[in-house]
Amino acid sequence: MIATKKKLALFKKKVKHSVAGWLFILPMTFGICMFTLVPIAQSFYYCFYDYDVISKFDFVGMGNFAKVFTDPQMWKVVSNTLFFAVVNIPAVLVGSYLLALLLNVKLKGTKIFRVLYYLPCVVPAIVGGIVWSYVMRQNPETPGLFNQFLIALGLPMSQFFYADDLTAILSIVLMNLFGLGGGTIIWLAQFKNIPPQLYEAAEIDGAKSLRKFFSITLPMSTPMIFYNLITTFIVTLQFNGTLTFAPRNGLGNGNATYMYGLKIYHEAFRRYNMGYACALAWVLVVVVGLITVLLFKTNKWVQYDD
Amino acid sequence: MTDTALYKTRRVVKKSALYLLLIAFAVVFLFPYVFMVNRGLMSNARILEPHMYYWPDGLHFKNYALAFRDGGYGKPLLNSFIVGAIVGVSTPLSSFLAAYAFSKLEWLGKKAMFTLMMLTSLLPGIVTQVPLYVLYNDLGLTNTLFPLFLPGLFFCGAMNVFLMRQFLMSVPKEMEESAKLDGANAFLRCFRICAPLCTPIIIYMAVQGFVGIWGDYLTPSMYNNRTDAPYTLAYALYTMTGEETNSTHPEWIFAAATIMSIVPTIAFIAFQKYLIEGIATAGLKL
Repeated sequence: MIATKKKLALFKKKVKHSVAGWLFILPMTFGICMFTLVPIAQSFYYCFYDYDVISKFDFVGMGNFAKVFTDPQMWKVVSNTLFFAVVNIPAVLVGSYLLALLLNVKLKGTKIFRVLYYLPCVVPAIVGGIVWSYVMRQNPETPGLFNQFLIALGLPMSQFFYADDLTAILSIVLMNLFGLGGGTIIWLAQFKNIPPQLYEAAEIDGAKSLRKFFSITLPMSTPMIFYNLITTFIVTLQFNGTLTFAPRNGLGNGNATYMYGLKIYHEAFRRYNMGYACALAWVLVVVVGLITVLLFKTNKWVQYDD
Repeated sequence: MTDTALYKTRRVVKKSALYLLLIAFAVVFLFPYVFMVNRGLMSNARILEPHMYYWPDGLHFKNYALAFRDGGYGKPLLNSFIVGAIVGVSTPLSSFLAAYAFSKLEWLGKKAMFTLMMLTSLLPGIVTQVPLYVLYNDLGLTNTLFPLFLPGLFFCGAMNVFLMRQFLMSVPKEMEESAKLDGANAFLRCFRICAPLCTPIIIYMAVQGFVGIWGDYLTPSMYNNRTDAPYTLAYALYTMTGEETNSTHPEWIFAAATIMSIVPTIAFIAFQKYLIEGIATAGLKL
């Protein structure tokens, strides 16, 4: 009895002591409940309904999930997304890594170049979309700048993202290469974290730059490579940036740039198939979760210090 | 003697080659940016010519004035600044309040709350978009500027809170002890003592918040469906995509696009020390 009383008194004291903390965390708690937790629950609930926000709200059971796998557009959407991921992720990661190696060379003025290379990342995506639609214009009478280059080099013109085949997605990867400076900053910070003693020891042993790279820099950056691989992967699967430049509201000619993230956007905010859009989003969550787990299971190549 | 000379020339050649490479990359990376600025400065006659020119025919700075006066980009520009200012303040503020509670105060449920917060960062944002549309629709907030800043008034993402918490944890406890003895409460202590020490990360978050919402065309495109809705500059430009070729004044689009890009560019260059540090730690910490 006395023990419980003591415990109760202690608890009361703790509660009293907690008031300040709770007051500070109150706005965040409200925000998370209102704009994250409740929407998550709702989103899950809508998966089982045919819902258009205005009038229709019919229970369809697993119908929306069945539709995800029988939707005739799905084959194109999934294959586009996978092709984009397979080309874009290595291109961006390797490209920004190589650029970071270049900027890591001890030379005067590399800081200025670091800033210059980052500038394209500062340009808002929508501006990028407008600029690219001019630069990559495919009209044979009024070719865009890239096609002017190709003509000058005596090469055939390209349709870039206006094409109805894989050229369209390759053009998006080409655009993304202009944003390499963003990843570069993170790699450079990682290089700084590598203890200089390692290089000193290697130099005493007479190691050349190439050897130092493969024996020190590369293995020491594997944790970051792994982290960037996962984050880039998640972002790539949700990509809907084609909205800002590709024809037909981002779908591209012949659905050449129709990808999973854009599919969700279109079903939700163009066709108002809210239930179906939620089901698509949850399928993506499961896929992303599974692949993240798979990546973690196969990360033996990652070298952690501790 | 010849050996050292040879070594010297080799080093000079190597250095020059590296500089050439660095400059070549800079030219490539900045090529679309310069293209945009050039087109915003072209005369109407030149931009409407079938041949696509890279360089402008003189510097027609009046395009900027005309784009914002006659081109209809004036009000969106103002809206962008209003929303940007709100988010620029709310991002560091909301993150700071939560981070202070996580790093400096003891309270029941702290660990659980922190785990919950970190879990929210794992969920793709795409999941909550549809219910948020329904919520804004119910509250009558579609076709307003509210969806752009409302969630951020309370919570601007686990990443920001996490970073701020890391920063606050490096502020020594002793800093607050004397104020505590003088009877200052947690609220006073956090704003008088801890906040000034967090200036670098506060600047980083303010600029990130501003730049993020400044370029956000997606949120209005989801939650706006009327043409009389208040546009931001990003959304005004978004409604132009695919229409550029029909426009009689494409130079206005590019003038507006230039302003749209120059504002974050200035912010980046002015605060680059804080930003590069912040971007790097944000990338490394999680």
